[in-house]
Amino acid sequence: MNDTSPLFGRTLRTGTLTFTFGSTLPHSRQPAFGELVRVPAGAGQVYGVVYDVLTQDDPFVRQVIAASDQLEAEKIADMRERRQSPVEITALAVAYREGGHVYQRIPPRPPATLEPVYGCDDEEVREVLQGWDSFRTILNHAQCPAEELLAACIRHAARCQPAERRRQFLVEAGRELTRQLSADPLRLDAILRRLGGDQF
Amino acid sequence: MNDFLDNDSFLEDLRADVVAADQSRRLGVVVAGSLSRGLEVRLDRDQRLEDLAVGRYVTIAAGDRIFFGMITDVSLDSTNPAFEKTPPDFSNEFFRQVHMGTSTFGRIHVSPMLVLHRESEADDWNAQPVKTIPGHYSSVCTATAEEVGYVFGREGEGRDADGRRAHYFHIGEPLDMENVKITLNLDRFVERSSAVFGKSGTGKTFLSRLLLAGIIQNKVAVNLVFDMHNEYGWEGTAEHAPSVKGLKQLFPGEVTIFTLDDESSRRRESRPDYTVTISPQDIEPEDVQMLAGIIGLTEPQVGAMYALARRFGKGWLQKFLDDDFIDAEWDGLKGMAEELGQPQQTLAALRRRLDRFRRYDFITDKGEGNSVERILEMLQANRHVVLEFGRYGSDLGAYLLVANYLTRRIHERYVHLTERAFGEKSAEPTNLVITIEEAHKFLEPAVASHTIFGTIARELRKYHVTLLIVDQRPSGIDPEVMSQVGTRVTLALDSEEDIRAVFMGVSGASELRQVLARLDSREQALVLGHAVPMPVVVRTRRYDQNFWAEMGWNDRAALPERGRQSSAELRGERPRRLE
Repeated sequence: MNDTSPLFGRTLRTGTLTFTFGSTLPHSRQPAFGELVRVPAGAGQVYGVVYDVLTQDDPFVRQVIAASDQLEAEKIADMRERRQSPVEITALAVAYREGGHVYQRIPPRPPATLEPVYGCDDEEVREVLQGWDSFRTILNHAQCPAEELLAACIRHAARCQPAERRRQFLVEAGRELTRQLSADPLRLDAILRRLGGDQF
Repeated sequence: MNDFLDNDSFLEDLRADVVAADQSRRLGVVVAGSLSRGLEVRLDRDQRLEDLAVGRYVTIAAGDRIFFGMITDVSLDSTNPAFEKTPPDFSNEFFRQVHMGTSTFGRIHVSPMLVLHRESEADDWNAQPVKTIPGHYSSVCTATAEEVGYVFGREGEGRDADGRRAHYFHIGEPLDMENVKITLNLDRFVERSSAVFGKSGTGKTFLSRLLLAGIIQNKVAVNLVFDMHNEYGWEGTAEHAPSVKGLKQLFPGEVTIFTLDDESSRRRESRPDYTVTISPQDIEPEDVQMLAGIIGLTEPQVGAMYALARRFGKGWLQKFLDDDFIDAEWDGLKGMAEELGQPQQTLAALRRRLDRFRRYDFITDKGEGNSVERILEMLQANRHVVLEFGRYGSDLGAYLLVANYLTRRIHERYVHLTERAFGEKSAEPTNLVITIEEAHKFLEPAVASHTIFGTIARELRKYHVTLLIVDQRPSGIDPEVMSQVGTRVTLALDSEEDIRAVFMGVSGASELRQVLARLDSREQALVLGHAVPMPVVVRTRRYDQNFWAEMGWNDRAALPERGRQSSAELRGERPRRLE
């Protein structure tokens, strides 16, 4: 946990399973699909995996699009930065920290609104995603593309490992998935295909 | 087991070792099984199936016990049948790494054989047959050389599990283990009838000779060997060597060679001590009856034989085959037939069948005296007797006749001696082991019930006579006799029937069958029964110069060279040999 971690935004809506935060960061600095984010909840922290990034329209954008076919690049950039409504980013709660311990379970209480949402550094990702208990939480969540999300999350975790351990980390994660998904070989195959290869 | 067991600190180490499940030896975990069917073990991910083989020993630590077992089958399995039907894409190395050992894995089948257990810290450990099995997920490890050595007992003299004196004889090494001697308890080996089985060319004779040498060296019994093919006495033949030493060469002072065919023995420079002859006067119908199958005697002919013996008494055979006698007494066979109340045709046929005895030169009155008495004298003086058959070895009729004739009389004497001893151990005769080849001819169901060999096999050690059966067709042996065979040493067998016969009356046979069916065709044997604590597959000990030297034989040709070496050492011209 690091206070210098980037601030992504503040919570808009929260629930036991997911929380949504609004972000005004430029497109390139927004958290990626499958990335781990942290938000305070009471005395602890809730960790979530980003699975949906929604940029909604606003009246101003509609007007501009309706008024003109030819938009100047400068204007487009300006409008993207000064939006009336924030980008809505939703994360699936997979773990929480309480009393110094990290638990890979659904948090007992969701974060409140307007809590700051931070990114996590490599060390924190390694700490939170060690062990594979969160696989089940992700796979069981009906509202998200679970296979894609799990593969993205594992790749994100792999990127946070030292370079020489990345390959082994992926193999071990694959083996754990193989164990957990032995009853569903097609689903397993889909995830492994998204994990394979040397691109993290 | 033996004095080895008293070594508690060794066992403590052993247990700690097993419990810690040394990763380098760990194979996997117990996942299923039963006492009757054996244990299913799931192999660990990095365990290569290719490195395992049936017949190898494993130990399983469970609670305060150590189970000792043998791998009896190896198989492939997967967590989901779909992985077998639509295999993952193994062209991708990542997929291979993930799946191998996880969704698809190897498993082995282990037959638990023994359990090492003790009641409390203060007690000695003891090895007992298994009566239960280890629990789920107990670690399974390859047995170490020390563990195998511990279970089978150290070579030499010791005590068995019941505290009785035991001579442990080295018969070979376990497969895939160097410098471990598997031993056989010779006292138990001779206590009941034993058998060496194997198809031809697998080394039955070599192994039998090795066992006999062990018996002689350890003085656990006295041997009588019916040496059908002249392989045991002076010299034997070998496929890849000019010749091998017979028992007499190894134990010149303790082995006496008798021969049935003096000429053949001398030609082979076998140096027989006596020539066996049988007086035609002494042949009884019982001696001939067991040849019925070989020479083609019918029931009426056997009946006629007994009628002749009743009528003429001793010497019936001689008289019956003597034309002059018949002509003089009855004016031909017809008259004889009428008086005996036997059909003439039956008598004529019987004469034709028995006529072959005229060709046997050993049936003569001109011998060196009573051969049975002479053999008995030797046996009672604890000298081992090898009876060479010379050219008669290829005549099954002669072999059966002589073996049966001698054994009946020798056995009779042993019964007499044992009964006279009135249970007083010191007065009882030394155990006698009679080695017979082509044993199924003596012990096939049709004749086993009324031959002396069937009787000996059935009465166990009551009269101190047991058999060492050497045979290539165990399925031909009467099941009742087979069930009395204490120790079975089995080399490779092909026929399904023979393999089944070997396991008659053995628990857990179906698993061991897999092991037996996969023995190499040479120098590998499965030993099970009375003389070993658990079934064991061995690479048999070689019957070669080293073995002969260990039996006390000195290579005369090598003596001058050894003399030179010794004097060189004494003069300090070369370093001393560390022997």
